[in-house]
Amino acid sequence: MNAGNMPQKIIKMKKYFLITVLLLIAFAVNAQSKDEQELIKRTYLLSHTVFGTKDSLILDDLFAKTATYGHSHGNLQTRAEAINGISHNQSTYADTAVSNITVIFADDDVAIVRHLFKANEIRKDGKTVPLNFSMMLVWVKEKKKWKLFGRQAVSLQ
Amino acid sequence: MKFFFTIAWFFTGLVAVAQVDSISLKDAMSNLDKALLNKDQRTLQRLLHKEVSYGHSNGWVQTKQDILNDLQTGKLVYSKIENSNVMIVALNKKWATVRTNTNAEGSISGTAFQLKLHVLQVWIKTKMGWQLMARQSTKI
Repeated sequence: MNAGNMPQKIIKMKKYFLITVLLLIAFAVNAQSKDEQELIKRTYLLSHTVFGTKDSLILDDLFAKTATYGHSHGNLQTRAEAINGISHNQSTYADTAVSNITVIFADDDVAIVRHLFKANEIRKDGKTVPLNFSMMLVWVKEKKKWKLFGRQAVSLQ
Repeated sequence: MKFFFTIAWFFTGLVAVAQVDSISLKDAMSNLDKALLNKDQRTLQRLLHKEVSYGHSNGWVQTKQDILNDLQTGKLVYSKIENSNVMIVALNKKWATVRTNTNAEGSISGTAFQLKLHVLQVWIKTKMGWQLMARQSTKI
């Protein structure tokens, strides 16, 4: 009887080991999907702020210290220039649409987000210009918060 | 004011560069350009991350397999890739973003192109050395 119990104990131990491993994997996958959800949220917030509220306090929170911000025409801005430019932008945007968001993790604390952006820009002089952009965003995790490290827009027109 | 920002930026750039091995990264960048020009599949295999997303100025995004195939079939041919104003921005030794202006010439599906681009690249350091993870260009 005793000899028969031993393997059963081993089987039990194996079972617990397997359960532990599966739990760890589930935890890791969950952590990444949580990051993914957070990145998508931050990406929407960025888009709504840049093309909507233009709130400089939110931009301040979204941008990493050494962020670089590239526009579709190739001009490049520092963090300070970008925040200043966005918060003083006199255009308004209608029919804004963010679509096709993809997230790729380059590392635990670096991610690349791509998405499409469409809107109608209403300029100060009343002229309406359709926008059709593809965006590439580089996000980094700083103090548990995803911050925009790099942005490059390209016009699809 | 703009001039001041450029100067300030230049110095933050220098501080950031001190953290990464900018020489090995610049080597990887020029090796990638050479490999694209010479259709060097072996070097491209090594320098392109398996999940690379390579965005062009018309919005077209290539995967690693697309890049290798399109060079092999001759859909995309590069005859000139010249970088200027290379700026490396990094936070640690494991990855870096690079901004450059690039003059690129070649042909796509037999139609010649000559482009002045601004490019954002993301490089990560793996066991195989620096690998390109993402790239997006736009016409200047």
